Amino acid sequence: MASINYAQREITCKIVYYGCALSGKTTNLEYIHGHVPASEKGGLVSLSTQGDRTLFFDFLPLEVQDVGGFTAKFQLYTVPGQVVYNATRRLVLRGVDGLVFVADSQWSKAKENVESFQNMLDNLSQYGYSLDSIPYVLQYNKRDLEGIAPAHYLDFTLNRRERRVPVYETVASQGSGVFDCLNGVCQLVLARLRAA
Amino acid sequence: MDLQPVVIYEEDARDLAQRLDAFLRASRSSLVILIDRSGQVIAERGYSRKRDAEELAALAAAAFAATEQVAKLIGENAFSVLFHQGEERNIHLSVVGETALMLTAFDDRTTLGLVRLYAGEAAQSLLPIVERITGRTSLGPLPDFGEKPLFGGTP
Repeated sequence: MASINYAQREITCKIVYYGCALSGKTTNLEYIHGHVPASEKGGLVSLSTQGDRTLFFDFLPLEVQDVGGFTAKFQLYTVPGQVVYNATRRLVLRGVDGLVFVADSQWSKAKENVESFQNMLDNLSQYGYSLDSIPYVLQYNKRDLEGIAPAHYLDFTLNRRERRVPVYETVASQGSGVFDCLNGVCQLVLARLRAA
Repeated sequence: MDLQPVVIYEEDARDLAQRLDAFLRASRSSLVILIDRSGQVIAERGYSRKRDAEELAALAAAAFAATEQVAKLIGENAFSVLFHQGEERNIHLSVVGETALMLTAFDDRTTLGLVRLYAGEAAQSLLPIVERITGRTSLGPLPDFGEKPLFGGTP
């Protein structure tokens, strides 16, 4: 959950990158870590297997000075995408303030995307959370590959709730759209806090 | 569980610092971090390098959450204390009510028994403050954060 420290004039928020296996969640954090000034980031912590698949989560703390007179801190987490790690996925969602759902744009991943989105809803509901109250954005990743579904198809399958949310088409391995997406979810989280 | 933020005002920060400092002195530990269960730092006292506290908090909360699930698998509701022993430094992790954890780092200038004793007392004294800062239903004033992109400038 977010914390607002008026004594130190700091706001801290937790943002989770969610999505099916190999959709590019860790790649997002690696690109961000490699392209943010040292003064704005901590170390990238990855709890992964020897094969570099996420086992528990990746964690990257970011901060920006003087956002309306406050230091804004964003703690970015990924979840493990593999189906078998659902228990750890659920743990990472505890206290989440904002979500980025990373969809793999390939036709062959269409079913996995939908299952992962539903899994996210199920895991959120375990904490009594809902996408009606948590700010989230959709990221359609791997737009550089052959055999990808058009954005309107991904919208049809993933962005069909009553509240349509911002969509970012990305190539996380090259960084295209990654910061737009991060900035988008950060702004939504801050706006929600202000409206609380 | 709702998504109400933790809200810390000057007097809360002062009260937390006072109690955590007293715990550090009594237990002769080197670092104490009060963490919310989602992995964020509520307060820290003692020595840590810049930003280490954030990583420690995220990892400790995750470790605690994972062992909580392990506890349930063997019929326990939760483990109330976790202890990691190193060659020179150790970590003691204990609960403060339902919403917070207290991470203590210590070395051979003290003992596990002393840390456990004073951690229990500290948790009792911290609990009313933790309940106060996690139970607020309204926020103080927040500024207009603007719509300028926060990240993505020149590294």
